[in-house]
Amino acid sequence: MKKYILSVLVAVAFSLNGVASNDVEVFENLSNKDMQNEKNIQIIPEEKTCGQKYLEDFERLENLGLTFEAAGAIAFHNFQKCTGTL
Amino acid sequence: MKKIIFLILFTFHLYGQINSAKVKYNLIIGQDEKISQDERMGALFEKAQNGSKKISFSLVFNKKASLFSVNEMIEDEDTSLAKIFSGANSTFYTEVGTEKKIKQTEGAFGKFIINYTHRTDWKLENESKLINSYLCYKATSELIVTNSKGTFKFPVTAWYCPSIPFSYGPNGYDGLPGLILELHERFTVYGVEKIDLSTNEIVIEKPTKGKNVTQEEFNEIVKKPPTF
Repeated sequence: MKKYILSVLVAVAFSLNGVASNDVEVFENLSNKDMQNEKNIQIIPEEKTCGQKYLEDFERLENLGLTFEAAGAIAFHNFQKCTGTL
Repeated sequence: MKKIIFLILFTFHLYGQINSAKVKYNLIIGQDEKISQDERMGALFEKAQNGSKKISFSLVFNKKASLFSVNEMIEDEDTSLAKIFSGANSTFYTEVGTEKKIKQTEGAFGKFIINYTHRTDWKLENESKLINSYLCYKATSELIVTNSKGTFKFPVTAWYCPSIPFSYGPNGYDGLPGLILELHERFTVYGVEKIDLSTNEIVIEKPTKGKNVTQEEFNEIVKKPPTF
């Protein structure tokens, strides 16, 4: 009886090991797939509007010591190129 | 001796009879390390430098007032940027005896008549040189630019000619005891190309087309991107 119980336990233990291995293998496969998916994910930066670029250019030109007038005119030049109106 | 005296008196008499003139200036946009090295503005500045060789300006004046404006030309990106960087994309009107001036400008934000007050504090130097056979003397000053990033100062040098006794010059500069034939302002240089003096009276009309604003009001307008 004891031998019977022991052999059953051993058989169960082996089968569980196989299941665990399968699980590990599945888990590993799943992990690998996730990593591959992550590698395929491209983070696309949010496109700035032409108006936002105008403000950035304006500030940049002020830092270069240009007047409000000149900064506005040059920033607008780039704004026109951005909107396709130049 | 008598001939020399006669010549001097004749010259004074002649210039005493000058009532108006038309002067043509060319433009050079020179170097500015800070702007040239800027990754976004450097390329635009280079285009402006190229464009400056293709544009010219006229200063027309009589004994009471002057008008400085860009001459007609084929407009392209280079010349457009040259006008903008030099600050001469406006028409400047000045009157003798007042610091009140007018700038007429037209662009993205519309047509404006900007009323501003400006007096240049000149320092008269001892240097002199001939420009187009006119004896000119040096004067120096500062261009002070104030914007939301602070105050910036740039040197200004003018070469004026006392033998043309009109206190006008390019870009609204005035106040010297003679016409400015050459002006250096930051990276721009205006140089005289041709002078036509006249005993006739030329009528100088004050610009009136555009919305009347102060310089401060105009500054607030251009700070925001244009809306269409």
